[in-house]
Amino acid sequence: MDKSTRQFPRRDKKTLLLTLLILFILILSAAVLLIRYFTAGKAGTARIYQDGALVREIDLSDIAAPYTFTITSTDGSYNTIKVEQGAIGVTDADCPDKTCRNMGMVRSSAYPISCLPHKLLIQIADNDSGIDAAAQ
Amino acid sequence: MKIRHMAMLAMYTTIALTIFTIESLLPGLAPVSGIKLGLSNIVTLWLLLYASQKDAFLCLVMRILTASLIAGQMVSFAYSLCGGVFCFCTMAVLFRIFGKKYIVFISVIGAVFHNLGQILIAVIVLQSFSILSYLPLLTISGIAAGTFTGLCTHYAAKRLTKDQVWLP
Repeated sequence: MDKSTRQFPRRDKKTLLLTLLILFILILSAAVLLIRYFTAGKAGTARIYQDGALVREIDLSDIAAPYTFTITSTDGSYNTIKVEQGAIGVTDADCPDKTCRNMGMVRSSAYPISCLPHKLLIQIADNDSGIDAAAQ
Repeated sequence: MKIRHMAMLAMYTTIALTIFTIESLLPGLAPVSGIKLGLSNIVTLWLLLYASQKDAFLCLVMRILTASLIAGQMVSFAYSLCGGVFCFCTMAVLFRIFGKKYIVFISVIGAVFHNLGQILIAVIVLQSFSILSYLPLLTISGIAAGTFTGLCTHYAAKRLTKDQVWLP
């Protein structure tokens, strides 16, 4: 390799351009992340989708006693989902990566729970109306 | 394709596959799929530096194919392939524009596009845009991971002289 690659890029226009581009992406992402974090409400309604179709809708604000149920897909794979007052989570699944299970019980509406191998998605909305939630 | 060339590419694919397998055995860094270091991208960057874009692409696709065969997951194959091709195309274009001096930056932007490609496949598979809310998180983790793999490649290239490197 020639000598020019041996030093870290020096201060030139290309370095400046690339640094600014990456900083821009970073700041934009961080801003969106923070906005989402502060505007996310408590988990209100959970909608469970499988293959893009709604299979179950649960109002999390009115759960008397925690319970679990299992969603089975057509190829026999399963996800066991636990519901309690104000929270929902996947407790067991036969997928290889177990990402959904590792998310634990989710109490905020910031992120959906997804199980990519089983095409399962749990969307969590806060129970306030959309306009109020956006204005908070 | 010469035998020597083919053997070298097979060797680099094996290195990438080994790195990939060991990394997948480590516990996840965060409870969100997609947040990982992506260390096997070092091999792709390395081949971009020392071989050709064609070689780097072949090695990447073969690594993804063999990794999915070992894991036995066709779903993860789609994610890996889409992320990998997105990442590679971005890096190849940037490599042509900026050249090898900027390998760290190229790695960072490539990693961001890798995660973007995977999210787009997730949108198609789950048929829902709500998964896009992971994008900011995955972009930031991509920048961190891309910086790390880029610096690994940069310093490995800095330490080795040309006669110490296996060239396909």
